[in-house]
Amino acid sequence: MILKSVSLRNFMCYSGENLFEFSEGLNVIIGDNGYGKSKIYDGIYWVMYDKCFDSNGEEKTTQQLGRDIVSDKAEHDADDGPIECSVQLTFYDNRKEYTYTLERKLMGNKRDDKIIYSPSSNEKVTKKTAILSAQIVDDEDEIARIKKRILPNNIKPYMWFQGEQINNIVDFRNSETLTNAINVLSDISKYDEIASVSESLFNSVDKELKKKQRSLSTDKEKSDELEKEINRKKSQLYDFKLDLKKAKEGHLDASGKAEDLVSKLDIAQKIKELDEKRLDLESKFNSTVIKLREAQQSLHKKIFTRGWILKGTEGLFKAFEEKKATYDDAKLELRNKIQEEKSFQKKLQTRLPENVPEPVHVNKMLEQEKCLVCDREAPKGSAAYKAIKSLLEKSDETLKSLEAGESRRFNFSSEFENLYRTGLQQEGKIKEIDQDISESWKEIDKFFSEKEVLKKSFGDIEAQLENYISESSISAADSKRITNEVLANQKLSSKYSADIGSLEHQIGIIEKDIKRLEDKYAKLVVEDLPDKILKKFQLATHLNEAAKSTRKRVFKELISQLESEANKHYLDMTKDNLSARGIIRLSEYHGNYTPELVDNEGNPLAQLNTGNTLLIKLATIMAIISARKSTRDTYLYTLIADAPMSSFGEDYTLGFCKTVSQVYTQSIIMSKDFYKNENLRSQLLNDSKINLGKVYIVEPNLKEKERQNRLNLVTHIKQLN
Amino acid sequence: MDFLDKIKLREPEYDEKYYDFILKFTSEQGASMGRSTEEEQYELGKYFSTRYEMYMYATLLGLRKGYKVPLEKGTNKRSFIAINSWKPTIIADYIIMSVLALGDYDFFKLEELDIKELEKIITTIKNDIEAYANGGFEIIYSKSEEDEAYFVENENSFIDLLDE
Repeated sequence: MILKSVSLRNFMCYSGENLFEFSEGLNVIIGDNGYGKSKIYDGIYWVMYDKCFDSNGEEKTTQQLGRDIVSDKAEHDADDGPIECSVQLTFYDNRKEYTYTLERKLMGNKRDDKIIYSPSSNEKVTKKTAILSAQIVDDEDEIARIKKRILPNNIKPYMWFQGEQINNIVDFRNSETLTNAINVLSDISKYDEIASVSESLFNSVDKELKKKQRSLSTDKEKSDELEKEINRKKSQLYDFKLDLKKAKEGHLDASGKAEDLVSKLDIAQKIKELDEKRLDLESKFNSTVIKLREAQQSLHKKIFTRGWILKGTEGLFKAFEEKKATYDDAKLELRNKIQEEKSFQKKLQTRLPENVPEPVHVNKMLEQEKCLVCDREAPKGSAAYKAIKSLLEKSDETLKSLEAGESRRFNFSSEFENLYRTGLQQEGKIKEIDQDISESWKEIDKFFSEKEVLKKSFGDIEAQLENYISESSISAADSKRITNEVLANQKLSSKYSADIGSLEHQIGIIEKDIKRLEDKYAKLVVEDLPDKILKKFQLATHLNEAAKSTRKRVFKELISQLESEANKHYLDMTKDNLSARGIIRLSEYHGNYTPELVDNEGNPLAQLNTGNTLLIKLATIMAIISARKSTRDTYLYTLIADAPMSSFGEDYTLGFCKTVSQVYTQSIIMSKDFYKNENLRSQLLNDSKINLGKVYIVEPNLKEKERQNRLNLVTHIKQLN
Repeated sequence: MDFLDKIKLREPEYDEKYYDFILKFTSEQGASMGRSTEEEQYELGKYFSTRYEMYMYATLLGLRKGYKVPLEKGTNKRSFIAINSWKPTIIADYIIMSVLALGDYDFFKLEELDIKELEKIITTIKNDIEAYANGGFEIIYSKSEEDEAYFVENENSFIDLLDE
């Protein structure tokens, strides 16, 4: 069945009428992120399942999504009256020449800028044959059958998927996933049916044989007892085998999980280490920033606390010092004068008593300019004259006057002294200010350098960490969880392993018991069993064994074929990538198969990235499809994948496209890989090895910033070939 | 009479035109309310905690440069706390010491004056402090007019200015 066209009317970002026509081969819809590629996938999905995906990739019903399905522009532009949002798919079955159209519609009604939508969507399916015109299909069962022909539910995960879904949907760690996929997409189930029929036949013949043996038994009571014991043992065996199956699955799951995580363990530990380093650097950085800030802040404070404000003011102190010295000298001079006067007075007092000679005689001596005591000349102005004259002056008055000078109104000497001491004290410090400032700056520079070094180291570590995290998708928080999970799964795996050993041992014992009991049972029959029954039993036994071994052989052959096909596709997809390595091996674990990547010596490769894992999955699914390509089953289904290449690098893109175009009869892929890389787009359009269908490019009319206002949003569709 | 105490009781004033300019460099409001931490002060680019700190700086700058611009009569003036509240006290004393050193004051004769005369001298000393502060403010203001980034981009600007 080929999807011929998708027509979208007012659906999400597709306002108005929009048509995509597809053909066989690889059809590609190109567009950047947010340009509307996924909305086409949503549209197809909506028609089929009445559901869409929200921004978190979760399925939502029409009722849950409501008006989110409808184009904002359509709502805005509509006049009062009905609004229609619909998607129509046209499928063509070229073997039967039937055309099916499936349409889903959501109706709303606008009145005074308010729009009320129907609570549910309407579905309309028509069928047109080569001869008859289109007929509406009313029957629900018929609609379900048509949809099943388009895509059966059990195949959906392998044929329709979004890039991020495939990892979860196709989980090969579940040991039955590959087996189930093979069952769904191959005719192995026929062999299962044969094996099941032959087993039923064997059980029935076995029952008949036992019945006959019991009737011919020499000791019927004993036979009954033995038969009961055999049945009890068989029931026990069945339970143990069931437990063994569960233990094996559990072991595979736990060891698989541990193995998966072990490959991440190294990187998780590295991330953990880097994260610890980052935290340490962050703490050191913050503490240095605080120290730096404190040092910078203290610069302002030091203007006062360390007296930097006095820088270069030594001259002011010197000036004060000079004035203070003058003041001190004046004070000293006065004190000296008083001292002199006091000495003189004292001297005088020791030479003559007071008023001797009497003033009348002294005046006479001055008149005569002669000392009448010693009879020596004392000319005016001479020292002798002055000495005589001083006898007349009241000496204590001079002294009093001098002393009055000293005991003045105020005495500021202690205050001037205090100021002087202040200056003196600061003078020493002023000399050290330059050195102090320089040292403070050195400290700031040191912290600043430290901060810069830490910042750089922090940036480097963070870049490394981001790199590891983005490459491994392991967050710093996950790194601890991974370590714990590895340990837990390793323990669980060991426990299951021990359980398997114990169960296998017990199964062996029970099987031996059954054999022993059956021998005993047979020995109670002395008469010969009828040939007919014996031959029937032998035939049923052979048939049962043959059916089982054939199923096993066919399955093994299928696995081998799949392995070879998967490797062919893997090689095709990775041949442009030099770093691609390993080969795919479908390894058997207790009867189930899991794909893994191994080296040339068969050793599993560790530390596969998401891209590698996805390629293995895709190659394995493609192998199932291509191995069955000749049958009608896979021809019927179209691969529809939204961003399937999002997890692997650009150099895988063309290889993937070539392989897809060769494996699937029709595929429709939404991709951004060809949008910006025009060279890659040109290769897509011109590579003769790519069986190319239609290629479209979708672009919104508004730039990203303007797209918030979606009222004018139109998506342009351009066909490139 | 305690001469220095008398001087310190005075509240020097400054030209109102510098009010906003002073606030640009002080976190006075926060500091006076006890809210401005040193960190905030730094973050806000404030060099001084209080107006008197900047006043002390301006006075010492004027003294150091010998640049004295007396406040003209009729100038709108603003006052703040008395000198005896300025901290550190030692810097306030150094300012008084410097004003006495550069002024035309005969220490010896001061002691001979009567109270009234001495009060006049103290007023002159206060006027001198204001004149040096006014000179200092003028230098700072001119610098910031001349180079807007000077006080913004250089942590050491007020120290550097002392050397210029």
